[in-house]
Amino acid sequence: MKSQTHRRNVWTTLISIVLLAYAVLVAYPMVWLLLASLKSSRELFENPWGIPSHPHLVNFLNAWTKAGIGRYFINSVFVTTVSMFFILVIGSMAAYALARYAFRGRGVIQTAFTSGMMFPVFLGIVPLFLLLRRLGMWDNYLGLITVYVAYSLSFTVFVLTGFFRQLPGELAEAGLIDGCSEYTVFLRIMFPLAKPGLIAAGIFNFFGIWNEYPLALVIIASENLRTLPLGIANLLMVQHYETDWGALFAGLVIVMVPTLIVYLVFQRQITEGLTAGALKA
Amino acid sequence: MPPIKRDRVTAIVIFLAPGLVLYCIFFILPMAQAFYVALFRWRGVSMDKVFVGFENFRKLFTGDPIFWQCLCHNLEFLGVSFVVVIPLALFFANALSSRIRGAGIYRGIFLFPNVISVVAVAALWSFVYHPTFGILNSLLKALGLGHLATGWLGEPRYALLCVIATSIWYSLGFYIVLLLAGIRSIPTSYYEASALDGATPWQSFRYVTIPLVWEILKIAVIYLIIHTLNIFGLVWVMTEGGPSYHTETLLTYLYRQAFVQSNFGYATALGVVVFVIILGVSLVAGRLMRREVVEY
Repeated sequence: MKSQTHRRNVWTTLISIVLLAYAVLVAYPMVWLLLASLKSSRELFENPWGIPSHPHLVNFLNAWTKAGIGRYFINSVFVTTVSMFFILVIGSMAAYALARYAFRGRGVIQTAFTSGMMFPVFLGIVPLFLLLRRLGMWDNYLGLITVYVAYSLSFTVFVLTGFFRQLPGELAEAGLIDGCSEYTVFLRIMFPLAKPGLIAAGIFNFFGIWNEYPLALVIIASENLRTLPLGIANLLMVQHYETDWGALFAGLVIVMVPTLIVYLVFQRQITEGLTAGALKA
Repeated sequence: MPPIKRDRVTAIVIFLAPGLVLYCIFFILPMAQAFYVALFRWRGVSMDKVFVGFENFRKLFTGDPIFWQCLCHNLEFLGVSFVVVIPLALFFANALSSRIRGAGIYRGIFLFPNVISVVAVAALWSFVYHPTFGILNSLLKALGLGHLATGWLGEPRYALLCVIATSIWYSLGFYIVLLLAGIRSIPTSYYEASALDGATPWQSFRYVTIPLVWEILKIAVIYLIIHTLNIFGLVWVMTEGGPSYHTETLLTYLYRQAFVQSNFGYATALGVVVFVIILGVSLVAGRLMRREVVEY
């Protein structure tokens, strides 16, 4: 019996060591990046590992102004905010109708939304590109945001339908009897009650759009319209020939900060939502 | 009563219309058109398109060695990821499900790469592999293994494996969290019973945990297939498919065909093929992993 407890202790210690090792492997590159973003290009080569001798904060200034990260950051904030607003409004309206009313064609529409999650982005990329060009929606935010909204609806409607379905229908009926219209019932009663669902859908759409790369790459061509992922990818390609690494590292830190904040604030919802979403789909 | 009914119909239409219209025009329509565009030789943005039937597909399968090279790279991506990710994710999920100290913090750290932009991940790892000041070469030198230092992403032999390693670093947390949720949903009484029967930790893992998370394992494998066959951003930003096609994958090749060389019809045919491959591989994997579901 004693040897068994002993063995168990050894086993637990071993597991702890492996966990710690992997945690270091995951975190270290990001810590290294943070330190590197505070070094001058020369120090980077002379002292790639250590703590920066004195924080070279000018990297962040250079990244923000000279390398254009400031502009890309504002572009990304704009595109993400506007897209999320429309996704949540349009998505919750559709989800509400699908969850609350029984009507002919409901099953078909629901299947159409849900099965959208199966199609890879790249399947329709060429027809989408040609369509946007024909409509004058290529290389501008109208096109990019419209596409983001359309591509996110499938997931958003799926998640929100589940939430609206859990709300008691009697509440809506009571509202109608009190003389509210269908729209007031939705806006004043049901929409606020679906807040947990809106937060869950909002978080995942935030990550999806803030980080989105392939669609932006195809839709946006102008330099001044680039979102952060486009800007960073481009800087990386340009940096192969230039030497201001510090600014590039600072730029990377700037991209990751908003995701880190949202991640820390909503960690519980993210872990739960991630698994729930994956298991249902 | 009739007026109420009409109100309701109007409400349904108003609620559904914006979403449905956007979704049909900008999502369903392009996806459906793909199957049609794939049948044309369509070069450039001009209206220069000729119906060629299945010619694009024939050329893809019989006249394009790069397509097969890409497919092999994607399959290598899938194979290596599968062999590494599934056992590691099971191990970590199992470890985190026990009462180990700091389990929540570990979970938080492991999952974090998953919410960073792939572009940032790709950039970060380009520096890890950087020949002059990269972490990897500095580490090798510090360990006295300086002779192993190399150009990593510039080396045809290592480039693909380097990208695969990055992809695993990026996605492993997702699989850990997925399986962790599955293991947590197993009633503890099952483990108590198996412990009473004298099962070792390995036995209770093998005969209690595995059968009971099998369905979730299946979902994890299907996610892995979709993720590795759809890989794009990581490769494009890290290597652009190079050196000389050594890391080219199906989707970087599709992007190159469509938006660098303007072969719209050909690229779309490739998109259709990728879609069918993903469906096919997922179905086969689902079939292979079919097992009686254990109800509990």
